[in-house]
Amino acid sequence: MARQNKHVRELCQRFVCVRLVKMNGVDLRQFQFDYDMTWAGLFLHHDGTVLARYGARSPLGPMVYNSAKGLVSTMRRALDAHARLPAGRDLFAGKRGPDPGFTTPEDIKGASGRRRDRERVGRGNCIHCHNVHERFHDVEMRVPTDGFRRPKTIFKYPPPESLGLSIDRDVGNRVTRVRSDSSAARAGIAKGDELRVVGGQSIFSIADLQFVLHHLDEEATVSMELRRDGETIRTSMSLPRGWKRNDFTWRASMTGFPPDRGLHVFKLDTDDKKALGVAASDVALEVRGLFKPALERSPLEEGDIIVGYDGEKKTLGALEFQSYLRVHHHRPGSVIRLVVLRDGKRLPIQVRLSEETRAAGSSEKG
Amino acid sequence: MRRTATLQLSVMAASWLAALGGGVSQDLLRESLRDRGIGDEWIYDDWSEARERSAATGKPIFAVFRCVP
Repeated sequence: MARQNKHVRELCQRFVCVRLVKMNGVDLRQFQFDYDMTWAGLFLHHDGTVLARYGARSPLGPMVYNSAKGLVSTMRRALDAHARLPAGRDLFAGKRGPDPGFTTPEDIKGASGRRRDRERVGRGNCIHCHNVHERFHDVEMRVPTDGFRRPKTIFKYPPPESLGLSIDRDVGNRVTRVRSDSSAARAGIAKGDELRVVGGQSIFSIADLQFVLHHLDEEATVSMELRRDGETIRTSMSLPRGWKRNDFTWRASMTGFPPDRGLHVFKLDTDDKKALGVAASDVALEVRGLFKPALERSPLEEGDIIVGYDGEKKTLGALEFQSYLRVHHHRPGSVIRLVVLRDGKRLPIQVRLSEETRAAGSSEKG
Repeated sequence: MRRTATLQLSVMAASWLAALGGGVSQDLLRESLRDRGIGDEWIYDDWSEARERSAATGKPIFAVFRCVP
């Protein structure tokens, strides 16, 4: 983006620009952002004050929330805020984030199998951004919650749509759409409003908004300051339990996210579906592996084609299906209702995904 | 394929040099990452240097995290 846009290049002249190509040794108390990004920017004062973040990703695609115009807009706001300091400093106090409890990725206790961290940095032992999320998963899952292990941050950096609103990516804080019967609608937010301050923090970008949302509880109320037709409006938004749920299938840090149900499936293509009499828009996943005792004892067989799940038949990819299991069937003993194609017949079956309850302190993650 | 391998080798070399504190690593990293034509003001993998330069010039810092591809 910096290479291709002359406005970004010009604005870069007004900053001290630094590119960090690995997370080894990076101070996590200073640099908190959505580590699943392939690209993330922070604008800072030299005393460590975070003025803004840029770089966000929608489940719908990597550039849905980003644009050169949006970056330029955030850069200008950051420059303006920097010039005004110390005025307005309280609006940036929370932007650095809470103490994560660890100084660097190498210091995250509980992360296993990464003994080469302190050796010389090469491509083989470079700590990538998403590895930081993975390390926090390791730590969080050492303590079972409600009888099972599951990171409290499973739904990270909720997108604006979690509130029921969409933001203009070129502006960064202007509302373009409010879904009826949503938290945003109930808070009185309207199309065209500018979100100036959310949760006590200045909002210069979608990434700024997501940072505030990331640190809210599963059930929360957040204060908001809007700008509408030249007037400032203060309101608050109530977020009901479950508001953080969002699609995480694109996240690199979730690729190996436990629990691994031991159910390996392969998505069939349109031609295969046609041959089996399955509509292109419907799910068709071939079972290619059953690697847990509970699955081996289940009525599911290798070679079955899954054409329905829990009353649904919308198409899913293999990774999406695994994510579905992790979100909806994470509890020990959880049962999924499947419809499978076997020998040309559709069979409704019920599959208990696991029977064990993991003990605290166990090293098993699967 | 050969171009990719060459790029990977140069990035590895640059990273190792950076770890050893080699003074040439900034230019090598820039070249390896194909960060050409974006201006000489960019600092590579040195947050302390960025802070010092920011304090000296009064400019804010733009920190970009992007891994070695």
